[in-house]
Amino acid sequence: MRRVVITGMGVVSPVGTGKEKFWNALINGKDGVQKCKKLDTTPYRTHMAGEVDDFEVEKYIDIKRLKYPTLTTQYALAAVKMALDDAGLEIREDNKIGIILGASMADTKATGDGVMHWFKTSNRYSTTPSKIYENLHANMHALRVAEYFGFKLCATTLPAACAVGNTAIAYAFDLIRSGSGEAVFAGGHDLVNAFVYGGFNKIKSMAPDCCRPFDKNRKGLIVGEGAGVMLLEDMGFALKRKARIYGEVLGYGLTADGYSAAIPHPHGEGLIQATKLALNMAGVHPRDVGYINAHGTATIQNDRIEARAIHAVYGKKVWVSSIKSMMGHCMGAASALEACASALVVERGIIPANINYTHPDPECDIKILANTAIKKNVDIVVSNSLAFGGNNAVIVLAKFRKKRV
Amino acid sequence: MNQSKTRVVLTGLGVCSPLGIGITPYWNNFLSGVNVLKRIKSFSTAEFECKHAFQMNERDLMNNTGHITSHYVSRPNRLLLVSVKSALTDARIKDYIGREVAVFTALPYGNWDFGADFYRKLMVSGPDGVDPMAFPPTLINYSSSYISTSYQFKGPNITFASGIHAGIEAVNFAARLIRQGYITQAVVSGVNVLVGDVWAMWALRNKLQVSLKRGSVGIFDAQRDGFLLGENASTLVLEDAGVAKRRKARVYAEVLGGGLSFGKSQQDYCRSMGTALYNSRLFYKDIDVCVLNSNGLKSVDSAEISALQALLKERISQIEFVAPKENNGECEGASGVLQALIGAKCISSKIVPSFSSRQYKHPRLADGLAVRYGARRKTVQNVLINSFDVDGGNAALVLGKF
Repeated sequence: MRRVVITGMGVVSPVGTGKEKFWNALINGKDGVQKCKKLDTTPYRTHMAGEVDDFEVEKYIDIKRLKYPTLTTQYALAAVKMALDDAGLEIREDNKIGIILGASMADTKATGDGVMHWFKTSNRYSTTPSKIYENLHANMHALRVAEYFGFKLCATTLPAACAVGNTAIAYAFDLIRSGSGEAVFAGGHDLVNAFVYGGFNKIKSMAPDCCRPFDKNRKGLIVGEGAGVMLLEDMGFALKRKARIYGEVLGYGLTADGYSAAIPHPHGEGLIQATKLALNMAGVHPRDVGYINAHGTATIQNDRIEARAIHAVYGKKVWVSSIKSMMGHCMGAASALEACASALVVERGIIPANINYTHPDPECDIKILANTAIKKNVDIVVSNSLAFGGNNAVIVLAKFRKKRV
Repeated sequence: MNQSKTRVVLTGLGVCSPLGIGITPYWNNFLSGVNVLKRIKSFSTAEFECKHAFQMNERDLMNNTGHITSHYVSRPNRLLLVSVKSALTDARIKDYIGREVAVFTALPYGNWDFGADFYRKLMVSGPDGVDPMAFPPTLINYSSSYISTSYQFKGPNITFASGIHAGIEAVNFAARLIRQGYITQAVVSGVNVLVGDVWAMWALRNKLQVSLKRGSVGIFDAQRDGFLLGENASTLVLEDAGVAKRRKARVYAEVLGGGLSFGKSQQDYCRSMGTALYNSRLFYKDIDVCVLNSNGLKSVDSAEISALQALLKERISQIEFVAPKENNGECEGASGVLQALIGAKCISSKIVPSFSSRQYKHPRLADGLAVRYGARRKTVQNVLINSFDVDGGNAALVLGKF
């Protein structure tokens, strides 16, 4: 089996666009949650969101080359372009480069516009503007990326709800490990939209003020947005072209709770099993893990269950934080952004904190890194993600060493 | 190239199709060339020239899912459940409830109607107008999760929404995970239902067949100009061959290898087929049957045929070709899995179906292919399955006799 390394990353996030801005915000505990501007939140109970406010598409891509580019497509393209430039990867005509992307839904803007257009015209389909019908495919973001950059291996869409990023990384890892591809961009993207804003409001999962993962007074999640993309490469290929290596992907664990489509298993059995599978594939003992980037949505149920699962595997010995405390829950982009943060932790030896943490919850009996980042040389990082539908996706990243025992 | 010693086999086939529910009725009707093309009645087609699709018989579907009373079980979920149930029954796996079975589902649009209904109510009536329980089903991965939840399966659950080729992509991934020892059993499905909004999108993109006068133009007719959509859910049970052997399972075929590529040219198609053959450790001369992607869309079909000519060379006249979309329609997410199911049945039943369900005097597009009509007996060793998306995603799969 080939080894898989991380050689590039691209970030569009509520705390900053671009890897360095993102990282500086994370280690300084910047809270990117503010009053929602993209939606009229008047009908809802809550009004906050983690929105991207520094995105300038022209910096990254030639938008004139695109037919009807929605903002979600622009986020995805920009994140891939950043990762590509970061890695200094050359795209040959006969490349074996692929893109694995996902979001919680299809393009929510185009879909929403389509639904309302058909409602207003009593399903007069022939009057549908092309900017709507050209953007309805769930796979169109990956297609646009592959077309724009000329990738030849694949353009795959894996809509694994909030576990998209880790699922995409797992899939890309396997493609490279098995020798099918030499470099694969993997990640996720999403937009603050009425589907999820309205949906999470309706199920009373949203907090009115800020995101407090694992805090006793947590009140729910904050919907966020963005895009995160990592470039994974065959180690041999990366070394040959003298690429900068952030870290290595050692393994993953993918499981289903098989319990409920809407709520996680009460004892976190699926997450525990996914963690064990990931550590086993990575050949890592729980005591070797230096940091856990938690899913930590700040909903009462999720945090309690995730904490139980973390405690069951690691005890109370490993630092845990959720960067959703700063960005909100970026849905399809969430675990991809968290994977980027995790790769930077192993590369730079600083662990970002769990901000807004003031009252420890006895039911979340884990070692939370509260409010202030710390310097710590970390060899192994685990990143958790859970999703609606009972999907669990855990990845294990490590500091790169040419010879790994 | 596939280096693993673990072999992957197909031990269960399930289908919920207008041609039949369950593998035996489906296969018999498919071999007989039964035509289930119907005029669309579930939404208005008045604005477009295309009026037909291959649609499920509602009574058949109700007979199999009538016990489901929940409002939150969508049409894709119903078809999927019937298909998975028939595949698990066919595989004769005992006590599968609660096991670490993986569930992979190709479903490019999710529960579109549920999502559209939720959004419309939210926009028109505000949050008070929507049912909170209707929110989770709006996510694309809901149907696949529904299967894991229904059977309490604990293995990975992944939805593939890459397009028409998503089903073959899912089969390839499942086989890779079994070879690596990550899982031992997987339920891989594809599903497609007829939805007015999605159908209209295809019509607006000029991909649907519009030149039909008497119901349908064959996919290899010179005047073909698009595809007809079909409803379908198909399911394969994949297993580690060792596990299948221990439980004395019937084996339909072995999954030998797969390939992926992106692009719309003949070379791009060749790459996915070539990679599938390479990963299977086979040469083009080892292929006996090819299950074509061809759906009636000129650009895609022409590229497929010329790719086959380039790849197979003189062998092309000796290979049997099957074009199942002639009487199944373009089943989008379900297409790849359905084609693999047909490939597996060719191997296990030693029957090669007719090239297509209609006879062409001059199948223009099929120039160079060995076009043989009528089902016939033949020992089949290896089958190549092609699945190409309209927008550039390509996947190929090779099945072999176990």
